[in-house]
Amino acid sequence: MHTVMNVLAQGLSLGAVYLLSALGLTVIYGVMGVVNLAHGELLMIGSYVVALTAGTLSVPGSIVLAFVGVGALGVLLDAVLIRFLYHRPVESMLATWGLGMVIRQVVILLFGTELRYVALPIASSFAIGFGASLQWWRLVLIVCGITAAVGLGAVIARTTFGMQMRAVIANPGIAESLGVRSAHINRWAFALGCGLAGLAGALVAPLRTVFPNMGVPYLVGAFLVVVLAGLGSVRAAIFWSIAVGIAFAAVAVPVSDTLASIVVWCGALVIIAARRRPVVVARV
Amino acid sequence: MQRPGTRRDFIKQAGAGASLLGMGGLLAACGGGGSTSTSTSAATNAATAAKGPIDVGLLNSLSGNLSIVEVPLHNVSLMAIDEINAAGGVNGRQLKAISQDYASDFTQAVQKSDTLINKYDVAITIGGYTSASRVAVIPTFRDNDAIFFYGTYFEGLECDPNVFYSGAVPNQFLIDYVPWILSNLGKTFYIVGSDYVYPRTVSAIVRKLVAQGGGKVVADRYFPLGTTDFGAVISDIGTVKPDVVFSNLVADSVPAFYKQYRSAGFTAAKNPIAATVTTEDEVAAMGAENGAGHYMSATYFQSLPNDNNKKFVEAYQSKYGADAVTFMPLVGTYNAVWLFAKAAAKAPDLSPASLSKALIGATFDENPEGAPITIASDHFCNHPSYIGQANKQGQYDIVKSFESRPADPFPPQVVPAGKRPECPVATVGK
Repeated sequence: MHTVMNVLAQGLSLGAVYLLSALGLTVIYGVMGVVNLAHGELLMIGSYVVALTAGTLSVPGSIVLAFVGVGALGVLLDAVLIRFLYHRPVESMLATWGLGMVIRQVVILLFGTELRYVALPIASSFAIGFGASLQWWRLVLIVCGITAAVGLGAVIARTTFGMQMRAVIANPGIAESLGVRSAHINRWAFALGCGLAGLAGALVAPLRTVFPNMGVPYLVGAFLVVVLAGLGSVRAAIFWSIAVGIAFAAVAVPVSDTLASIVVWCGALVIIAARRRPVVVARV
Repeated sequence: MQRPGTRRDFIKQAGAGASLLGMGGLLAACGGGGSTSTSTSAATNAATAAKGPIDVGLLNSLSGNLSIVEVPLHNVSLMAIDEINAAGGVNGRQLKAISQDYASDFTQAVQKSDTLINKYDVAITIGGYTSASRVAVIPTFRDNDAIFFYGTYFEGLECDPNVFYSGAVPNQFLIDYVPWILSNLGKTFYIVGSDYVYPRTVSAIVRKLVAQGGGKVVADRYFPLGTTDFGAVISDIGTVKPDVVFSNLVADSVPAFYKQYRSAGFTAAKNPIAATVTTEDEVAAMGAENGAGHYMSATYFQSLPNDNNKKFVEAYQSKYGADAVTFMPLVGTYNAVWLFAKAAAKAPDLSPASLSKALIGATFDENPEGAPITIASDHFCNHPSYIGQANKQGQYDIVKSFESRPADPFPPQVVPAGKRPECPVATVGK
C-alpha cells in the first residue's frame, strides 16, 4: 500500500506537469493547425519570468505575470510569424523549431547559460497515509494543472470567445461570413496557448531547474500526451496526462526512471500503432 | 558573467561528439601523409638555441557551446604563459601561445590539431575539454607523433603514449572518501547518478570500496541526462532509509534533486548527500539553503586555504574579474602549462621524443591543489583530495584533507586483473 500511495502521488504530480505543458500545445493546434515546436522555449520564458521577478513580486504575482507576459509575447509572435503558418503543420514545425532556437539564444545572450535559482515557496511535505508523503508544491502543481484544464474546457465550451473559436475550427469561411473575425480569434487563441506555456513554466520553476535549454524535455512530454490524446482535445489530454504520469511512476518508484521511460514510450508506440489514426492532418 | 556552472551540460555532448570520431580518424589519416617534416626545429637544443620563442599550441573552443568553459581554460593558459615568461621563460626563451579555436566542433578540433602540428610546428598542444574532444584528436597526435596535454578530470579507462593528463581520475578522490563516509556518515549507501560513462565508472568503484569497508549499497539508480524530476526516487529513498545518498548526478539534474530532497523532508544532518560532481555553481543554482550540510569530494575547491591557491585565485581574478570562478579543469590546465615549461627546461631538445621523456617526472611545486604535482611514467599526475561540506553561504568548508595520491586510470574495482594495460602502451618518437 505504501508503494501504491507513492506511485499515485508521484504519478499525479508528473501527470500535472505533462498536462500543463500539453494544454497550450493542443489549443494552438486545435484552432489554427500550427504544431508549435517552440512550446518548450515559451515554457522556459515562463520559468525565467519567475526566476527574475522572485525578489520583487509575490509568488502568485510572478506566476500571473508569466501567464500574461508570455501570452503577450504570443500576440507579437502571431503578428510577425505564426499567422503565415496557419493550417500548414509541416511548415509550422520547421518555422517554430527555428523560432525555439532563436528564443534560446536570445535568453543566453541576455541572461547567460547558468542554472537559475528559484526558491521553493513551500519547502515541506505532508503525510498522505501508509507512510507515504507528498511535497506541498507537487500538490500545488496537481491543483493548478487540473484547474487550468477544467478552466480551459469551460472557456471553450461556455464563453462567446470559446464559441467563436469552435466556429473558426469548424469552418473559418462561414464563421467569417457570420461576422467572426477569424484572424482576431486565431491571434487570441495563440496568445492563450502561449500564456498556458508560460504558466506551466512558472509553476515548475521552483521544483525543477531553470536554464536556457530546459524546454525540450517539456516539449517532448507534451507531445507524448498530445499524440496519445489527439491534438485539440482537452478532456483526452487530462486523461492521458494522468495515465502517462501514473504509468511512469509505477515503474520509476520501485525500479528506475530509465526503465520507466522505456516502458512509457514503448507503451505509447503500441497504442498509436494499434490505433492507426494519423496525429497531424493537414486540413484542406 | 561566464561561470562554469553549466559546464557539465557539455559532457552530454560526448555522445554527439562520438559520432564524429569515424570522420576524425579519416581526416587524421589524410593529414598524416604530409607530416614527414614535423619538428624541423626538433633537433635544436633548448638550452643553447637562439632566443626565439617556443610555440605552444592552445586548442580550445573560443566560440560555440563549449566556449563557456573553454574560454576560461584558454585564459588560464595565457595567464600561465605570462607567468612563465615573466619569470624568465624556459632557459631564456619566451613561450608564445598559438591559439586555435575549434568552435565546439570535433571535426574542426581534428583539423586545428593538424594545423598546430604541421603548420605551426608547436612543441606541445594543450587543451580540449570533454572526453569526446580528447578522443577525437588523439589519432592526429598519434599519426604525427606529436604531444597533447589534457587538463580536465575524467573517467580514466584510457592511456596513450602521445597524451599527458594533468586532471584527476576517479580513484584519486574516491579511495579516501568512501572509508571516511563509512566511519562518519553511515554504512548503507543509496547511489544516484546521471546515465553515462563517468557516473557509472565512479559508481562501480564506490560499490567495491563500500563492500571492502563493510558497508552496503542498497540501491544504484541512473537517470537520463536532463532529468529534473526526482519524485519517484526520493519517495523510494524514504522507503529504503539509507544512511547516505551518494550522488553522481551532473548539471541541471543537481539543483532539482537537492531541492526536491529537502522539500520531501530530508535534512543534511540526518540524511546527508555525499556527492562527487556538486560544485559551488550547482549549489548557487539550488540555493544555499538546499545545499548546506551536504558533502562533496574533489581534488580542488576554490576555497582551499593553501598559499599557492590564494595566489592563484588572486592572480586569476585580478586578470579576469573579481567574480571569476576557479574550478578543477581550470587548475588542471594551469598545471599542464607549468608542467610543460618545467619539462622543456630540462629537455635536451624539444622533439616529441625528448620532451615526452622530460615530461615524465616533471614537477610543479606551486600547484593550487596544495601539494606538488608530478607526472608519473603512465602520463598521469598525483593529486591530493579534500572533503568539503557546503555552508550557508554556498561555499564548501574543508572538513578533511588527504595526502596526494597517484592516478589509477584502470582501477582494479572496474578493470579485472590481467586486463589492465601497461601505461603508456608505447613510447613517442619511434
